[in-house]
Amino acid sequence: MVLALALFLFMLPIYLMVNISLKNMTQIFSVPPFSAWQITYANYAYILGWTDFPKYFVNSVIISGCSTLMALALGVPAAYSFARFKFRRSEDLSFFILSTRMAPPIGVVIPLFLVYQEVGLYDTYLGLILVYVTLGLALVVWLMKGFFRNIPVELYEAAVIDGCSRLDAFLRIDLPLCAPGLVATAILSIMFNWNEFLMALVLTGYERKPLPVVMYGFVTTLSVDWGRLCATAVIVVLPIIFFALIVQKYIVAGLTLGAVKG
Amino acid sequence: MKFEVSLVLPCIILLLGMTIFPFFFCVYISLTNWTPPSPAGFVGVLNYVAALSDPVFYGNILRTLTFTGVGVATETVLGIGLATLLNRQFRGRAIVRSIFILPLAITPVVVGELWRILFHYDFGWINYFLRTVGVPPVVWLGSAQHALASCILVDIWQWTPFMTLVALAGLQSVPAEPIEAARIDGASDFAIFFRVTLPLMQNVVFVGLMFRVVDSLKAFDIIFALTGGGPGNSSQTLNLATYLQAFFYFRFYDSATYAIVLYLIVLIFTMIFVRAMRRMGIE
Amino acid sequence: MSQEKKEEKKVSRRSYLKYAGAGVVVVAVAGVGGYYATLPAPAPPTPSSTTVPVTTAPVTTAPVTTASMTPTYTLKAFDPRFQSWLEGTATELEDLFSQATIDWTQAKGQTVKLICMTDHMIDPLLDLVPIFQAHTGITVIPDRYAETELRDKTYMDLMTGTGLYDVVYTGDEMVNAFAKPHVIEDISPMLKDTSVTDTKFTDPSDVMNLDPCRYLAEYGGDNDIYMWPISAHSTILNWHKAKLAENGLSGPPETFDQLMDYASKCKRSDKGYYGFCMRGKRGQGTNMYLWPAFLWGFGGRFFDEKYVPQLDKPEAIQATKFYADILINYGPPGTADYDFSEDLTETAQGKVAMSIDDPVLSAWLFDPTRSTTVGEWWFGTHPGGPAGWFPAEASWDFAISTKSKAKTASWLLLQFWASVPSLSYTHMTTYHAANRKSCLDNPGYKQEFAKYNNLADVYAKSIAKASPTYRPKIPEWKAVGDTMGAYLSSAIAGEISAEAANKGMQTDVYAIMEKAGYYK
Repeated sequence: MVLALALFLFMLPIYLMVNISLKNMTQIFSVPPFSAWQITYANYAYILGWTDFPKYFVNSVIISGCSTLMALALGVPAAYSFARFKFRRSEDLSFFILSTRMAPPIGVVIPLFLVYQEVGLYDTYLGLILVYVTLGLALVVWLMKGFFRNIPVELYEAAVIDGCSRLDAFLRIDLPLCAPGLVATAILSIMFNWNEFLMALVLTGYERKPLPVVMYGFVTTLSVDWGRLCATAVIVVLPIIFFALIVQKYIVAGLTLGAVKG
Repeated sequence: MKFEVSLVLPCIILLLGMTIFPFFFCVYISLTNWTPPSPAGFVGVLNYVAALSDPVFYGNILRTLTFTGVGVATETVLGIGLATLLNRQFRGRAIVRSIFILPLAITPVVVGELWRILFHYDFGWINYFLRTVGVPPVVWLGSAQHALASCILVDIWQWTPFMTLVALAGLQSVPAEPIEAARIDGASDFAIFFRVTLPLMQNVVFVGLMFRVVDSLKAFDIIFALTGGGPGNSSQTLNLATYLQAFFYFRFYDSATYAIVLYLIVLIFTMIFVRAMRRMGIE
Repeated sequence: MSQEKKEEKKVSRRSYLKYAGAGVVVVAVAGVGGYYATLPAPAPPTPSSTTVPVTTAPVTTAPVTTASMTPTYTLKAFDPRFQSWLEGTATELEDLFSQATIDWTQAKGQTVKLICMTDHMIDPLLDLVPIFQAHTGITVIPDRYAETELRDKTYMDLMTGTGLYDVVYTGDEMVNAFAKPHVIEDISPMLKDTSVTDTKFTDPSDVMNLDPCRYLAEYGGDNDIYMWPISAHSTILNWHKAKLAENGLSGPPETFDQLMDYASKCKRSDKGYYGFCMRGKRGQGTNMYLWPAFLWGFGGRFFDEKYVPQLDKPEAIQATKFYADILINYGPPGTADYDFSEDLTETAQGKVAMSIDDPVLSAWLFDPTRSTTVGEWWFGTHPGGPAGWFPAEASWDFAISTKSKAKTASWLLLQFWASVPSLSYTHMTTYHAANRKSCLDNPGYKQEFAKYNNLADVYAKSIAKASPTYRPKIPEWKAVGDTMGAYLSSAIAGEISAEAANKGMQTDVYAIMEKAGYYK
């Protein structure tokens, strides 16, 4: 049916990627593309045997993970505040937050580079994390704002009447109810950070380079090392899929909304 | 301090701290003729005037708008459609949903290279399929007519899952009662979708749409990897030009100028969006 | 009510668990990361004996005492096929060190931070680093990037003076752009200093392409050397003997007219190959790497004495017309976007009868992991026009940043890498042709290159003919070249005529030069 067709079309390049990662150089451009080829694991062996690879992998995990957590920690309360409470200047403030995402990265990256040199944040985890949190906050705040608005206020008010503190009500009622939104936001946030390139390139060096910068290294002047590039891509994308699979179970929508009726 | 404001404050402080200096620096540079390492000389709005009298500049803007318009519209429609399909119960749903985010999850450089192979005139899969069904093959990346279209195609491929994910989350927070009520009232599936489900999703979908527009106007990674600006200038967008000016021509002042102009364009779009959202009652 | 509370508790517990789990994962990962971050750099080997050798080299200064460290190192070739070559090279290098004319340990304990490329040229150089570190006690930290990113970061570091790197890897087209504002170090004084320059390793007269690394007087410089070349690049013609033969042709075309003629005869869609291909992609290093050969060949030039561009002259237009015509008529479709890798694919898979590109491509035609037509290609020098033949000139070089705090150490590293054994190993394993004359006499190198038909011969001729000013070495070249490349690419795509392309080039380049202050 339609879904299968859509899946086929979307997954075709993915299939290509896995396909290439298992071939060697001369077979990549065979015509017709589906002619028989030999599976070779040489590309994967190279990547996994590369002594520096764990370092870059760890860099990516730390940077993406911490940035997402921090963005969520800062952004979710802010989004809640914007959604629930009307205070002076709330619209302006939320628009300001949105505006931070509007700047083209290239205009921003050069002054950041210069400043980071001065304050010693160049090639550090903290430096890049701060930048990613800055970029990701807008998404977190506005997406979660939308999700929070969907949740009826009555539940929260009922809890407050029952004697919960505002913080408690927030943690026990509103947060779990917007779990699908929270999960979606987290996944998107992690993916943006995981794949971000320009800031990572300029603001890191030998020590804290994350994976996207490293992977660009396969695109050399003279030829693209397709086999290794795709093998790396497959290895790099697996944690994200893994993460998405795990958090799938926490998207329980209809179930919790049933609590509205009580 | 009020509870509500204190929730927002850490956010604001961080953002202010991180963005003030870069922003003013960028504005300042756009008013100079800085080509490092020579010191910057103030030239006022000369750069902006030069840009406004440069036909390539207008071409860049036009291409950026086309890229965003076509791309985001398609992604939204497809995304919402796919989300409805994915919302049904079927076996292996969790796995399918996880796989579906793959286009979004793959590093842009790999996406660029993969599609370069797919688009290859002689060896590419797309032309292979076209030939098999008897359609003459197309020069995708090497021709001026199709370079931008190819970039848009890849953008759609990569970002529809974003809209799908957002729409799916939106769908799942739609309460069941209004839909049931409408069904009891005898409304058709079609009507239910357009008049009940969609408006209930609109909070979330609209935000997703807005972000897509903002990001798409600033699209860089894919276009750079695929065509680098295309044959001639045919796939050069404003953000790409900003990068090229800075790192290829070493004209940081032009780069800053384009960046500010792009920022203003995005600002205008966003303001339109937010105003529309307020009027629609989303805000 | 209790049912609800239970559900609430379940839900909130779940979310707590989720956060706790995430927190644990983060802590664990941070722990691992911290562990990696705190791993100490490999300690330099400790010298186990110190001997004072009798120096037999003729020295004009006082006899040099060279403290020798017993070299302990393990060598691992980047490709297992080359392990034996690596060990042979190590023996040759040990030989050189035993005859050293300087104290190689004079910069002991320093660190050289280097930014270079991820391509295969650097792999063999890095293979040799353990030998260097063992003999000098200098730690080398290479930071590798792809070419575009390399240029970006190098430029940003040098021009903003942040001093992140001691040694940079760049092309000789940047020599004036970097030498003028003094961001790279002048090497000539170091060459004259016999306490830091080892004559056994370094011999300027032996290097074939040192001139392009000079800051030439005609650009306002002092003619000193500012970069040291590791490789020499040019353009040569690859022609497929069998394909030309089956179209009644023997031998490579030598003039532009012949080239066009052969290309037309060799376009055989019935046999599934095209006549000719070369780079069309816009860029000063892509299509503008090949175009000047036609400009000079037809008798044109880029600028006059006052730096006014001459791109709307008939010779320049003819160059563009030729370039676009041959590709449009006899080349594969989509050449407007062709870069080295597309040329390689088409040539190595036998989809074209002729192509012009870097000699590296030619050598790779003999690499079975890259080519399905091994041994079938022969080579000719770049065809010429009425004004002669003009092969391209380019090189990849190392330069020392003026902000470096380890300049002597950096120079030692450069000398080590530019020595005959090192270059022989590097070029053999990457299928390049070396840029030192002595390498041609290196037995291993000679043996390897004998397999490449007449490549070595054509290469030597081309390097000798290549002129440092093949592409203008002005700091604005990047902007100029990229602008011109965009127009050329449009012409190849058939969007605009050659006349229109050149007119556009002329206007835009004039504007660039004017803005840069050439016409005051």
